[in-house]
Amino acid sequence: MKWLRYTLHAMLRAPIRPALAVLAVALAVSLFCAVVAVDRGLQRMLTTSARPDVLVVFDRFQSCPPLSKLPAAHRSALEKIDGVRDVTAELFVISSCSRVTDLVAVHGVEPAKIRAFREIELPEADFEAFAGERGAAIVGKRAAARYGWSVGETVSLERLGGLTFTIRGIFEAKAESLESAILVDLEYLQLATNQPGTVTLYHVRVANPEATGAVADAIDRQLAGSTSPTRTAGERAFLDAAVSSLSGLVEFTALLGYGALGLVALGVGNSLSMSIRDRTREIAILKTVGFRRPQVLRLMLLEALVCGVAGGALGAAAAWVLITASRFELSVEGFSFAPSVSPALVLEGLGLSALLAVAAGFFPAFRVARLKVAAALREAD
Amino acid sequence: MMFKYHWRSLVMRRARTLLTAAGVGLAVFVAMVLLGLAQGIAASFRATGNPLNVLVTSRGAETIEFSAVDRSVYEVLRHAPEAVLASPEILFAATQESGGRISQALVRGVLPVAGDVHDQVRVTEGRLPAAGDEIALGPLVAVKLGLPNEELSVGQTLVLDGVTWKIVGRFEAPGTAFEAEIWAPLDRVMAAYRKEELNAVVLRAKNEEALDELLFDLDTRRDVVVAARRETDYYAAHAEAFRPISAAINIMAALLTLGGALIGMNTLFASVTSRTRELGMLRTLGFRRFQLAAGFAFEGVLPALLGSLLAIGAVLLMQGFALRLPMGAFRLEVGPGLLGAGLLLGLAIGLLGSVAAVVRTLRLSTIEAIRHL
Repeated sequence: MKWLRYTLHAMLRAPIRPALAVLAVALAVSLFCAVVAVDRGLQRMLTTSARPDVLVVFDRFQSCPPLSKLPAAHRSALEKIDGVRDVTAELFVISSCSRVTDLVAVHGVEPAKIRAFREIELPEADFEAFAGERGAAIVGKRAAARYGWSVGETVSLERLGGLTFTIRGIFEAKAESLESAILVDLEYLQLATNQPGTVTLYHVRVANPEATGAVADAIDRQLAGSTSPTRTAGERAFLDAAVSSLSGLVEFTALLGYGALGLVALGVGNSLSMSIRDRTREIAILKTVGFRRPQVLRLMLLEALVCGVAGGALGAAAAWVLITASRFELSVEGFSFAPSVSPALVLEGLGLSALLAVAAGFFPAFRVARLKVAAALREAD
Repeated sequence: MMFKYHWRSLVMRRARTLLTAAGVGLAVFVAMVLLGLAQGIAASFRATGNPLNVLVTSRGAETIEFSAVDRSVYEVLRHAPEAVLASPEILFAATQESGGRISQALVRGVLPVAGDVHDQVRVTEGRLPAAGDEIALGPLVAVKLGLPNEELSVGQTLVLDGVTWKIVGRFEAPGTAFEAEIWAPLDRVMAAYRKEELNAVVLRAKNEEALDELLFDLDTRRDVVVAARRETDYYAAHAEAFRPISAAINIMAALLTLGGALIGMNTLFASVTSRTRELGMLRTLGFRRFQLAAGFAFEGVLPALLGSLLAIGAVLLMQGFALRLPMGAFRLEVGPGLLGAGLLLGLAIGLLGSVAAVVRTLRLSTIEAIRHL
């Protein structure tokens, strides 16, 4: 502890240099946290949205899932297949397929079944109001926040051909992408968008989660000869394919984020080597009064560590505040996600920053620790 | 004379100079890649489309994929007096599976006339598809599908959604969205994918006046209810949708620049502080404050420029690096613009990094400087 105080004193004696180093570290770490948070957000959306026992059945010939079109008649065929426990249909209406921002997504769902398939939370009375009224909607809390909607409001979406609905509730959902969505009654949406009897996809809950592959094959075989052949995939595989085009970009920027951490090493290494240069005399005196090499080494590395930790904490905190305050959201093929800064990510940024700082400090610290006292005292003159 | 002095100072503190250059270089490198990415993506949409082309889609459709146009509309529009060419098209993402991995690429179902309407597309090998299971494709399809380029050369086959297609041609359309597309005969695609409607009709107007008339006419006529806009406007709107991401990328690049500048600032400030006495001496000899300050700016800019040269070298090695994106694929093109940006960033970092040192030099009193230990 006294060494820490000594180090802090030494740093504060000439505060500009360590302050600049800490700032550089903070910038690198905040950048790292921000871009990696986008990647983590995507992963979180995938894990929270994918249910292991649910299959998604969609149009064999349409790879943008929201463009898939299946007849309502498939339901009875699906229900008869062995291993299928429950079936629900959904109709997606979204403003665009390939755009990554500024997307409006409306899902037509079956009110009677939605809660068996999706974990959504809202007051029971609100849900009853939604289920009992055509043209009612419940909206995810992120969608509500983004557009400033409140319960009771009637909304008309110009970008979706004037689709109109009254908001009866705002819900929270376990599946992250659902929180950016608007849910309305399936039949209402079919009529409003002039596609009666059409659904986008079916969610199929299988009785035995181990057997999803076999059930998926059975479904596709069964419907291969119909007017609308299907492709059935586990929900995770379905989501992976849907976001595959964006995940490349996200993973690449996350990689650049790790690269930016190199600035931590260079900034701290640079600052420490200059600090050592200025303090050669002081170190020589320390050695004269009996400091051993490892002690000097530790003292120097402590300074690097302080820079790394202070900068890392500052940077991670800045990224946390910025991401939490902004409502930045990305969507791909109708699935939305927001960057996610978790305590784990903050710790990772902090840990990597401290580690890199110490590693970068090692070379100059090692050199000065080996310094001969007489030479050091002479050099300082 | 002064420059020689500063040059020597840089060479004498070699390790420090190189460390600074490395820091600046890293910051500039990451910033350049990010900027190249943002610019390239936006530019590929801005560059796509012929200024005389009119894109006809169904009303209310924001993208071609979402539009549905009856074939009869094409039959009507192809006889429009203002138009010289008409290309009926469908556009959708097809799926390719290899080794359990699913990837997608945009397929454009076309008639041979598409080659004339989209005159940015230039056949480099073979020909455009005419009939049957023929396809031609752009150079970025390999990236989009995650396949080695050799597997997509003329004469090879490609299986999409269970249909085997024969590659009869390769084309390029530098800097446009077409580069990531697969072109196939319209009728074969419509049959294979059970599509009954077109996604769009692209018309080529005779000239600028005819184009305006065409837009007005399509907007008001009663027999065909469609939305018409300039093709270039459509792709420009795509670039617009990308703006929030561009903005985020620019902010990141600015932060990196600042990070690099802080490292440079640190070095130079220490350099000035440790030479305070020397500076006092120089002042006594008759050098003006301003001269000394300019010298330090030079001493700050030089390692920064060295760093940005390193970064430029690294970025040049990444030339042609390609990335999959939601709307196609993107290739990092290292053009003069990006290289210039790299140099400017280096210069900015150098100048910004000298600020602290310059201010200190300007405020330094000669007497105190000489007394400094």
